[in-house]
Amino acid sequence: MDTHHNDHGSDHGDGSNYLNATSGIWSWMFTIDHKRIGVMYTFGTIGAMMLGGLFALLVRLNLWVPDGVFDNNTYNQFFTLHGAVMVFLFVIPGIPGALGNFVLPLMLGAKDVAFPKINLLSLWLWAIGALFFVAVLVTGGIDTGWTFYTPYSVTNDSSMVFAVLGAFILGFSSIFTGLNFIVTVHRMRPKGMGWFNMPLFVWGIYSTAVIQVLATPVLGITLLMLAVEKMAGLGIFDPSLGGDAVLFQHFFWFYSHPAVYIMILPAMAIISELMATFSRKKVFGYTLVAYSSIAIAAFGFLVWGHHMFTSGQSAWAGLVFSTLTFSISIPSAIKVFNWLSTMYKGSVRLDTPMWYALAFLWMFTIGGLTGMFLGTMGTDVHLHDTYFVVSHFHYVMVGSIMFAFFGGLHYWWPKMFGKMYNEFMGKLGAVLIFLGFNVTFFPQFVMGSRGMPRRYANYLPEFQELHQVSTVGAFILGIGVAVGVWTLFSSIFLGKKAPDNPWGGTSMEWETATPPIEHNFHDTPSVKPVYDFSPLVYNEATGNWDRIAEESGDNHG
Amino acid sequence: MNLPILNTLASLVQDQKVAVPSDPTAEGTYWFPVQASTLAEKSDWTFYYIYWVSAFFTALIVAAMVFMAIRYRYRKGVWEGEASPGHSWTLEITWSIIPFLLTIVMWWSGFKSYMYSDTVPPDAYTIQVTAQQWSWEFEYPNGAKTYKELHLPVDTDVTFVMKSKDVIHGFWIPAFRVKKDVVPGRYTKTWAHPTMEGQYTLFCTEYCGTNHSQMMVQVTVEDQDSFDKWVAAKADPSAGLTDVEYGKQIWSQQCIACHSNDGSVVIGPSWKGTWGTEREFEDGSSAIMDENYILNSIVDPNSQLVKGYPPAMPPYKDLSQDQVDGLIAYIKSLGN
Repeated sequence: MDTHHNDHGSDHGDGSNYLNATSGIWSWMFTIDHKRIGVMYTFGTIGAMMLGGLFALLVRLNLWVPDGVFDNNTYNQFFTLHGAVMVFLFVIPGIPGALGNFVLPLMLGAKDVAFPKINLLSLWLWAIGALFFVAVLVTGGIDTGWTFYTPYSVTNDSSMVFAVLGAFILGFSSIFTGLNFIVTVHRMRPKGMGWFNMPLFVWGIYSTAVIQVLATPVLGITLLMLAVEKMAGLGIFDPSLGGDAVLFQHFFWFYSHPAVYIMILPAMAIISELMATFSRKKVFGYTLVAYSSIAIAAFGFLVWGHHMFTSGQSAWAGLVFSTLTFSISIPSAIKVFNWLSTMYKGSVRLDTPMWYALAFLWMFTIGGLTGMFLGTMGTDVHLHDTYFVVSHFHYVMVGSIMFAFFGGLHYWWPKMFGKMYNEFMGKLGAVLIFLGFNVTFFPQFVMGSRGMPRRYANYLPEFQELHQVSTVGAFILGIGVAVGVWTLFSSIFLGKKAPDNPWGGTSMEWETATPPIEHNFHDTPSVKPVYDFSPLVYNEATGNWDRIAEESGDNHG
Repeated sequence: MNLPILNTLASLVQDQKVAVPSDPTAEGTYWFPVQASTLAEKSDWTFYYIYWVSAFFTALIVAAMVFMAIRYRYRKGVWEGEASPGHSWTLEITWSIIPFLLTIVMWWSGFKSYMYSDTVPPDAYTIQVTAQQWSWEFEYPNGAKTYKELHLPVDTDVTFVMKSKDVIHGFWIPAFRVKKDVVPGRYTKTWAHPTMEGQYTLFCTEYCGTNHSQMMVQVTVEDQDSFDKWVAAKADPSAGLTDVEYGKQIWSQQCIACHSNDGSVVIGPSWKGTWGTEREFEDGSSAIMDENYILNSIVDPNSQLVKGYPPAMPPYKDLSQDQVDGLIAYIKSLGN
């Protein structure tokens, strides 16, 4: 019995797929296949993550002793480059570029995104932006922090121009991806897939895309102003030239706060898929989870001043920002409760992707709740610019977003490469990452409220113990990430052949061959009710979840 | 903003000033240093409220997750979840309203304590704070100036009027829970009412460059009498010192961050063995180090930039004649 052909035949039967259909470096560099572009983003952003991670280990190494291991200037560059590489080259582009690109058209039964050539352009812009950051490294580095606050970033004499231009170019990569995804979701859904019959992954990617298009231009203009000020001496942000030092913060955070929703919404999108598939049940409260994505995207534009409560901003502006910040906590909480409820009366399978999803629920709860301390004006006065903030955002960026990324990678990797990774190694990586992460960052909450400022190359001896615990955790985390990445990469060569639907997912990407053929489907699969698990039956012999067709009479049982 | 309605609203959120007796036996907690100001109690109350709400919900969520992962675990043959409602308005409303009500308390109490720390008492004892890369200067009403230490009288309102000479810095005394950015081109203000005698630390808390982590200042809170004596003595810092000693004192407070006295290079040239020597400048010209050279280097440092060094020194236009004399004497004493 040919179990591949359980739905109108979605492979060529000759082993050819998008990976081997054409060969040679030009066929990859000039591809317009969203799947190949997604694969290149995957390797590129994972590479950036490892580079950013290397800087993180250097940062934590320096903090082993109060007087530092490296000189101050070197340390300051390490934390700046860690932040800049992670934010601009990994977290912002990562999930949309790698998984959004690969999965979105498949989920819509489409052959590609709306604008495949612009998609390639986005990838090239990412690569060029990355080269600019390499130029930063090679020409002496920057030490302003990833936030480039003025006047320090204007008067500072280093490779700022490369960094500013690099971020500018990466911004366009993001804008074009957002544009592409918006049009794809609006115009390329199959007949019968209304908005409320789409997988929640699509809602998440769509909400992200809206922010990418609306917010990123503000960063672009801000960076241009910074460059113009430095090169032409025009007084915008530098008081010695007649500018306003705090104005930069408004411009910068007007983008950078929505940017963190560009980071988290795709992660939440992945979690929706994982919770559904591994509970074998539709996400509870589907409609509200969908609306929450849009609400988070919209409200995200209104809260930037919560980064500026101590900047000299007026208390009344602060009150407005604090109020709006709390308004985002409600849709976020709604999502967490709905995901949890998805497990109720489900059939919960604890494969590696689900370990990451459940870890996400815990880490995101902590990350989100610690945001309340910072959105509350009075407590923020004490906690701003301390390790408490550092810990809060790492709980969201790493504990939530990176965990979701790894969960999504483990979930879709068999579809992308046609191989199953080693399940024990997958879980080992997850455990090391979870342990290492918490050992690194939980102590930092305590350090912050006790009086440890952030971005400090040296510190008072009373903080040494907690710093050392944190550093040990960072190295455990590093090992865990290496194990996770190794598990995935090595499976490409060493893994068992993967069936079409190893997890029993209901969305259309699971109805095509593994790996997919170049043009995704011979015939578009029929649209079914979203998250309907009833036709899927696990086949012990093949490890595949077979789809028992209903009305069509095409029943392979 | 100065609209009358806002002032009325502000007065609703300001508490009465509370006198708290000094308690030298008080210790910090797991999360915080001691509560050494009237603000600290208010700020900490809000923190602990959020903390307990957070701890409760985290425990609830994790427990629910673990319970359901076990109770509803996959069993062979159970290909999908049991039929159950996919949605519940009751639940959605409940788990939106309850968190919403809990967060209102956070939001409001945080606003109150913020307004308390942001509403500077008029006519309080005012200290002028100037931040620069990478040191502080504190000027007291009687003209005294200190650099490495800040003394404050206990049980008194103290206002800080702050500005930066260069980039944005941050003024943070964790024991007081007081923090405000110090910005170039404008004044920012904050205040504190210290309640406990003791020694605390002031940190720079807005990243400002290479030695951002080395701008710590010891804060001493003492009784009014001791404070009055201390500040009176500081008003004449040169009292009892020779020119060379006075110069060395100024160096150790304002110049040491960049200039060493032992030949090593920190940021700028070392002062050791430079008196009377020929200094070569970036533009090819040169000059002998004498009294006028030193004066010019202080008030217009980049006009004669020594070759091989960055133009990193800000001008110091406020030094008195006596202070410049002291510095000249000290540099002379370091050899030629």
